Amino acid sequence: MTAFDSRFITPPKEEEEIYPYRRVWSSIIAESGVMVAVAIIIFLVTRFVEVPRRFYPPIGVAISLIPVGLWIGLSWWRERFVPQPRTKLVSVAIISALAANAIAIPLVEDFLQVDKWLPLENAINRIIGYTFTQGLVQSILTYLVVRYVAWPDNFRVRLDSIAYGAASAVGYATILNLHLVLSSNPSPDIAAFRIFDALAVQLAVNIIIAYGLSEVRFNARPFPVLLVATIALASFVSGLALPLRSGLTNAALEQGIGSVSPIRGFLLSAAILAGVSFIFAFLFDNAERQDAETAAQSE
Amino acid sequence: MSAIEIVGASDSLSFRQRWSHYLVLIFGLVGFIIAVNLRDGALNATTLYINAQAGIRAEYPQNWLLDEEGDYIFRVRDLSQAGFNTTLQVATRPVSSITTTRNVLDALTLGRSQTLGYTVLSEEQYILPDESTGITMSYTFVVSDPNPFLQGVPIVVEGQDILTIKRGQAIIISFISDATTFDENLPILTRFMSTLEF
Repeated sequence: MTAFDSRFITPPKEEEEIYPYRRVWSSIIAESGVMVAVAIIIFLVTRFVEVPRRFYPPIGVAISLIPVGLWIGLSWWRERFVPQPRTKLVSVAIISALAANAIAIPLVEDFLQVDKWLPLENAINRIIGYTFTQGLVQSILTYLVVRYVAWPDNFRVRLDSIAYGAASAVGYATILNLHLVLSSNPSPDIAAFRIFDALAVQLAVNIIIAYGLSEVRFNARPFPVLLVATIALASFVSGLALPLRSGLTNAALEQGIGSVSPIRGFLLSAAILAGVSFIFAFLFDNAERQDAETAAQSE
Repeated sequence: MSAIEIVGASDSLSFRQRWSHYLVLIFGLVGFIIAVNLRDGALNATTLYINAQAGIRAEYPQNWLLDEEGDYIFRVRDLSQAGFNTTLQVATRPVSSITTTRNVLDALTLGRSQTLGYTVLSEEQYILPDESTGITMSYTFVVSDPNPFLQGVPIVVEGQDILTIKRGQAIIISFISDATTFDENLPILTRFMSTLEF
C-alpha cells in the first residue's frame, strides 16, 4: 500500500505575492465607517440623555480628536507592519494642521470675512463665493503641503498620494473641528455631525487633489492642465458642500413647522465622500491598469 | 494585486510636470484675487436712497433694513449682526438763523441725558464731502432690553453724530454701533458720508 501524497496530483502551490504597502482604501473606509457609527450613536444617545451644557466643550473636543485617533490606529500604526511603510505621513498631518490654524482660519475668517457677506448671498453666489474663498484656500494649502513634504520622492505607487492626502485631511479637519467646538460650543449631537461633515468633505477634496498629484508623478506625459483642474474641482466640491449642507440642515422659512435637520447634512457629506471615492477609485484603478499594460509592453 | 513602483525618476521634473505646478500657483493667485474682489464687492455693495422731499440722496450698505417711520428722515440697520444692530440715521431739526451747531449739540446732549450711561466722549470739527464745515460728537451709552423678563447682558454702544446746518435746518447724521466693533465698523460711516448729498 502506498501512501497518498497530494503533491503528485495537485499543482504546486504558488507563493502568494505580498503587497508591500498598507492598503489605503480599506483604511479610509474603516475610518469613515467608524466616524459614521460614532456620529449616529451620539445622535441616538442624546435623544434619551440630556447632556448638561457645561459638558459641551470637553465632549466636543473629545469628538474632534476621534478622527486623529482613528487615523493613528488604522493608518499610521498599520504602516509599522508592512514591508514598505510611508514615512512622511505624520509630517504631512502635522504641517496640514499647522497650516489650517496659522493660515486657513485667519485668512478665511479675518481677512476674507466670509461670515459677514456670504451667508447673505443667494445660492449661486454662495457656491461661487465659498469655492473661491474656503474651497480655494483649503485645496491650495493641501496641495502645497503634500507637494513640498511628500511629492515626488515619497510617491512610490499611485495610492501613496491617497495616503498622504488622507493624512493631510485628518490634520486639517481636526483643527477646523477644534475651532468649531471651542468657538460655537455646539451640543454633542450637532458637534458629531459637523465633525464628520468637515472630515468627509476634506477627505473628498484631498482624494481629488491626490489624483492630480499622482498623475503628474507617474504619467510619463502628464497633461499640464490636469493638476490645476483637480485643484479647481476640489475647490468647487468644497464650495458646493457648505451651502448645500446648510440648505439641507437649516430650517426653511416657510409657513407651518420648520425644523433643523442635521442628519440631512450628514447624509450629504457621506454621499459626497462616497461618490468622490467611488469615482476616483475607478480612475486610480484605470491609471494603474494602464501603467501595468505599458510596463508589460515595454518588457 | 501587483504594485508598480517607479524609483529614481524624480530627480528632475519634466517640462510638463513643472508647468503643472506653475499652473496651480497661477490658479491660486488668480483665485485669491477673485476672492478678494468678491469680498470687496459684497462688503461695499450699496443701495441708493433718494428722498426728494428732504432733498437727500445717499448710498447705504446693501441688505441693511431701511426704516422711515420714526422722528428722522431715514434709518438703516444691519440686522445680520448679533447683539446691537449697527445703525445709520439721518435726521433734521428746524433751526433759527441765530442757532449754531453748538446749540444743537447741547440740545441733543440734554435730550439724551436720561439715557442709561450716556457720556460724551469728544467733540471736534468735521469737514463734509462738499467741503462745508460741520461738527462731530462721539458718545457712548448702554442698551438693555426693555422687557425685564428677558435675560441678557446690557450692551455698551458707541455713537458718532455729524452735524451741520444748511438751508435753515440742522442735519444730524448718526452712526451707532456696539462699542467692541465700533472702530471696525467706522469705515461704513466714512463710505456713507462720501455718498451723502443734501
